[in-house]
Amino acid sequence: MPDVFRKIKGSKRGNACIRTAFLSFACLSVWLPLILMVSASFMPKDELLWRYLSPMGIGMAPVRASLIPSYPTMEAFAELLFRSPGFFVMFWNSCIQVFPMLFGQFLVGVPAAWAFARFEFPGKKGLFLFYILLMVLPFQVTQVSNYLVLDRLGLLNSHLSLILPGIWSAFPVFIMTRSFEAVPKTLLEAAYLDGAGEGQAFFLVGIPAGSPGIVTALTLSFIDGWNALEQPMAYLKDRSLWPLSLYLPDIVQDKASVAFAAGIVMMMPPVLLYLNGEGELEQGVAASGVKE
Amino acid sequence: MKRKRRQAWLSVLFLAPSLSGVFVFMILPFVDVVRRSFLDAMGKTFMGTDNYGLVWKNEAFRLASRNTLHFLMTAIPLLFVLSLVLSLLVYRAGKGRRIFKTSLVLPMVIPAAAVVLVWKIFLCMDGILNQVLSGISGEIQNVDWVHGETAFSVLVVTYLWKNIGYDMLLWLAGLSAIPESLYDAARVDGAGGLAQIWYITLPCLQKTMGLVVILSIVNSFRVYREAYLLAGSYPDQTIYMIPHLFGHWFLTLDVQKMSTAAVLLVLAALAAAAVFELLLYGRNKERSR
Amino acid sequence: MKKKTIKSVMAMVTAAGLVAAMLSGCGSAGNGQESDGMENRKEDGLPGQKGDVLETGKDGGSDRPVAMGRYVETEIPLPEKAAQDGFVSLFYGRDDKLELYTSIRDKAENITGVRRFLREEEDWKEDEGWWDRVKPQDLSVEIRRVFYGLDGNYYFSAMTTENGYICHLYQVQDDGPGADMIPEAFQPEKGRTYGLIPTKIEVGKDGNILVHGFETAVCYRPDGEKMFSMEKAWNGSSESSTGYLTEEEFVTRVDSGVARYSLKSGQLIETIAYEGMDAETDEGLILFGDGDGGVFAASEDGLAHVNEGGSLWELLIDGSLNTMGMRNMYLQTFLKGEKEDYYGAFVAQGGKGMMLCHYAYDPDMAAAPPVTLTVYGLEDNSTVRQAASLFQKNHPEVKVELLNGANQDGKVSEETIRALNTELLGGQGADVLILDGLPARAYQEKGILMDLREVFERIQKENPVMEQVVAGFTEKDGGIYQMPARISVPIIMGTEPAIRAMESLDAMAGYEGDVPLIYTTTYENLLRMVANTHYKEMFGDDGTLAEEMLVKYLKSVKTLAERNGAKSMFTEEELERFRTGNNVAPYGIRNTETDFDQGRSGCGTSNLDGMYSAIIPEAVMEKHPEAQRESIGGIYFPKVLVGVNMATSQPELAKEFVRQIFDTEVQKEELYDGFPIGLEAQRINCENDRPNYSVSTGYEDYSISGSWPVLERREKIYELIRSVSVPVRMDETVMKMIVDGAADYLDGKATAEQAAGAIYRQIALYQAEQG
Repeated sequence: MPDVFRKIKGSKRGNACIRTAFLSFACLSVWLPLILMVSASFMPKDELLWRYLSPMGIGMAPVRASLIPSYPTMEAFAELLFRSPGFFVMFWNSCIQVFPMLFGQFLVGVPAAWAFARFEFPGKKGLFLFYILLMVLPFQVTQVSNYLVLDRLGLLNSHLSLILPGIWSAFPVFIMTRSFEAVPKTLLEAAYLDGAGEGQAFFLVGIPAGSPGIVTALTLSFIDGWNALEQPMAYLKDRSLWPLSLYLPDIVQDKASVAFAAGIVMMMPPVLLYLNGEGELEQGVAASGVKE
Repeated sequence: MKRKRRQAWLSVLFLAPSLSGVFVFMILPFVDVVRRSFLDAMGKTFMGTDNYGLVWKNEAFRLASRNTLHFLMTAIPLLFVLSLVLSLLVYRAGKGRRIFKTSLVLPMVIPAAAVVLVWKIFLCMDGILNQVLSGISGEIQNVDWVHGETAFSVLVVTYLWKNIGYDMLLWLAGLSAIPESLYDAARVDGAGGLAQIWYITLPCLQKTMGLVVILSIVNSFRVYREAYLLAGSYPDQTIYMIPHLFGHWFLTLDVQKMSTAAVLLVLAALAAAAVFELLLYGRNKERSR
Repeated sequence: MKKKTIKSVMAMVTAAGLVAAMLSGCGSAGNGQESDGMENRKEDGLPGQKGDVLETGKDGGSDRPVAMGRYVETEIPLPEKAAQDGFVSLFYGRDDKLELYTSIRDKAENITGVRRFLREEEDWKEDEGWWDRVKPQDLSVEIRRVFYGLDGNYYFSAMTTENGYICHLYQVQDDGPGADMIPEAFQPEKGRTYGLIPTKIEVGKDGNILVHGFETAVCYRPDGEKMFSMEKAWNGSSESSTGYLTEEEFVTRVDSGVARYSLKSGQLIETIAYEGMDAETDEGLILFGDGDGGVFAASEDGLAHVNEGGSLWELLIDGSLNTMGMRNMYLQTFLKGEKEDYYGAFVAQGGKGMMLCHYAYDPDMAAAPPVTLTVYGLEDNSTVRQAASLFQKNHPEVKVELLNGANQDGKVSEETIRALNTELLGGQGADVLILDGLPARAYQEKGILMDLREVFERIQKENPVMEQVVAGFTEKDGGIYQMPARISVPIIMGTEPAIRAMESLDAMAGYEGDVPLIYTTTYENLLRMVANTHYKEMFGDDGTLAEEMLVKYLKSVKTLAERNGAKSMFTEEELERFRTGNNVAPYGIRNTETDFDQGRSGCGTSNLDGMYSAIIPEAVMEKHPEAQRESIGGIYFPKVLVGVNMATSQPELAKEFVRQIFDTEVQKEELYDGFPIGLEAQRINCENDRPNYSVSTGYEDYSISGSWPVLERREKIYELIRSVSVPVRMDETVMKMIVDGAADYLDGKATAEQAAGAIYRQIALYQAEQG
């Protein structure tokens, strides 16, 4: 096999061209739908009815796609942001449900991840495997029992029903563990030599060194929580507590003209967060995937 | 050695906050699930292993399991390979790298309902895809992509589209940790691009591989959202999966069946993990020789 | 570095923008959410907190100290002479005396006179001959309303019916008949037979006349000069419900709230939001002032009040605990008494059965009844409401709490059922369940529903309902877990061949005629109708559908569709042309009796929900003596299915409530949700005559009208109702699968076998899940 490999050589320039072509094609498959969404969010209602809404049951067939709106308007956004009080309440709810959860995940998950990463104790492997298992289980599996536990605790139909279980999600622990594992031993050794205890080593060396991993875990957790569907639907009876993620499926039925705008607006916080944390993110994911 | 022992004790402290909550919100419910698998729907009468026999033989359960497995076996390897290839391309892309990366990550962030909106526009009877195909072939194409034989492919494509960026990020991170020196050495030895990949890149990415597979599995269950929004409660036979079944069982209060099926699934996952572990263990043994 | 800063800045600007927009939106949203709701009047502990919160079953008040004080309703006896009269007006007149006006009616329900009573010392004193003194000599008029203007004069409005419908306003004179005021305002326009028919007329302090129309109120000077007009919301033709006058202002109802206008200028002063005040909801909302600038609103929910300048409404009287909440009684007027008390006047259907109620505060009564019985249904139902009101009257220590699953848009989704299921699984949920739209069979199998056989044994002994209905819902082991309180009966009208054709799928497909058997309709309606009317043939006794039967069914439907031009959706133009509809009719059965009448279809179908719905079919039958009218295979659609939750903590009370629903008092009311199954109620309804009730329908080139059927015909209709025996309950999931799966075949894109196969596999999967 190695011989074959040696024979396949291309010119550097040619390779770059092919590469760019492939990547551009891949990106196109992402950008086209996005541009469609963005342009649709600027279309007035009539245009949407004429173009896109026939698959939703209203509007006129066939679909007439266009990447540019004929009469760009902020109508949809205006209606969404200014005339739908429900939208804002839901936006707030999403914030109330996600940010405290992230905070809790940090408090609870970071020490646990450190322990998994750097300490040895009996049953560690098994426990970690257990955490992974919990992470992988789809929501429906424990749905009813989760509900009953929350009910017993009196947490149902409140923001806490989403925040508390979310804090103890195994997902951030998993990612942070990997990242902590990648912290070079030498750094810690140096700290110990300087007379640091375990706690100090953890706070002063571990956390800063593993911060990319923490940022990664929290960012990914944010995305998950922001788009969470199953839990809010199951645990929140009051519509006034519903987060943004439940808004979309609802309005797609009723107010499809606003749906595109809503989708865009809903995407903004995670996108902005990602863009901001991009640098850290890259490092973090790097650390969590690498073996030493 | 003292440190090790101290650490072992400290681990209790460090793990306590996490474990306490995990106990309440994860272990307790799961124990309840196991308990319910031995009771009747309302949780009153003891049923022994009757439920297991019932669910094991249940045609709907078998179909859903088969489909779920089929999906996992198809989509995850595809995702694995495609995202790896993409990451390799992006890694070497130099200038446009940032743009490519950010673009490919975007689908991960788009809410399911918005994705389905666009998908519907694309895939419906008079949708974009059909129009394009009609244009190309000259005949009117009126395929209903979401129902029928193509449903499975649609779902796989949806899954790939959403998660390629996610996995690509993971790969990229792994790639960036591989020291250039290794590649330089290989080049000196005369290894070409593909050889470098085979002998250096892939082996170094092993740990990342594990991560990618596990997270891909986690995300694969999320594809139910799109499936439900696109194809409804009772979609085509090929994409009827475990979450669909569980949803319906819940509507008819068949909680005991859900619990039983859940236990069966967990056992299956454990078995698979065990097999995986053994293979890895075997491979590791081989490598360390 | 620069890129990063730009990005951060961008991010922050966007975030700031969003937050700003949010806060501005939040402001109104916050207000909107809270101030539109109604609040507890905590000091007196009066009941009532509304909102769209779905509450769980248990009485939450068990931990709190019991709040005291409640308005209690008592009925005021009518003057003896007026026992059979109709209600005209009730108000405080000169000398602050309460005055009652009633209309004397003849057999044909025409108004022949008016009686005036004054309330003196707990009794009514008649002012005899009042009408003869004040009525106009030159015209024969029918009184509409009497009122006391703010200028100190009495007025009455009346209609002439001889040369078209014209309204008149008369001012009562001390000597002689009333003076006709501003007649020009009411004159009909050229070519019309009716003039302005105002919903209400009032006179202000300076003698200006305010005429309430449907969407505007116009102010006139006494000499007829028009001053200005103000916008209001349409709220039906009920006279009292359209707003009121104070010395300075006109207060009326507008979309989603109450508006205050200045009488001097006609300009809007402010709008007070009031959740639940929607121009589309029922008309019975009565506004009146408190003399201090505040506003009262009386409706079936009770009496609410808002202070001047305020925006929070408080519920003073909980309508669900008394007559106000009864669906069979229509609130005509409501007013404030002299000492923290109130009066309400109600009529039953047809304007008969006038009732006067007095509401006085009793500080020694518990603010809310100590015991709560919860009743859950997906949608609001009048029969259940009626039963709740009566039950509360008979059991003053009980409050019946009605819970609806449908969200504020009136939509029911899977989430609603999931939420309910989780409650039930947790051993909670309401005491009584109305099972329409719920997976009742699953509930039954899982032991969620209580066995009610004893309840119905007793009912059958004391106050029997249709035996075949009880039998139809008795399980093999003799248990009864649910029972419909109402039924809907589909009928078919046509000549012999058409009626025979409906008997089986083959017969339907084989029908030969000049016109299609079933009139043009959508695929979905056609599929649903055929499935419902041929339920027994298709599903047999065990409820299973064989694949071959599915093929046969599809082919029959296709034949029908080809003959009558059915489509999946009709365009606007087609809707006009064919006079059909795109919406899904109940059970797919559209009322096509008029199409049959016009000879456009071989038969007409109709879904009978009550005597009122039989009027047009009867009219059609009269025009076609050669046609027959029959039930379709003896089938009926059960509605308002009542069941009791096994987990209830009040089984005896719940069973009592069930008995109330099937009691004649509830069964006999026409609430437009189906025929009663109580035999005594049927007899009473049969005898009930409403000679003035007529219905007409049609379009430009066709019209048909009918009136309340005569006794003979009514008896025949009830005979038909009593003859049905086959309950049809189509599983909605299966129906959806059929409708979706048949689309391709009906459009010609697949064969019947293919479509049937696909549908069959889906149904099989559905059934396998339950296996």
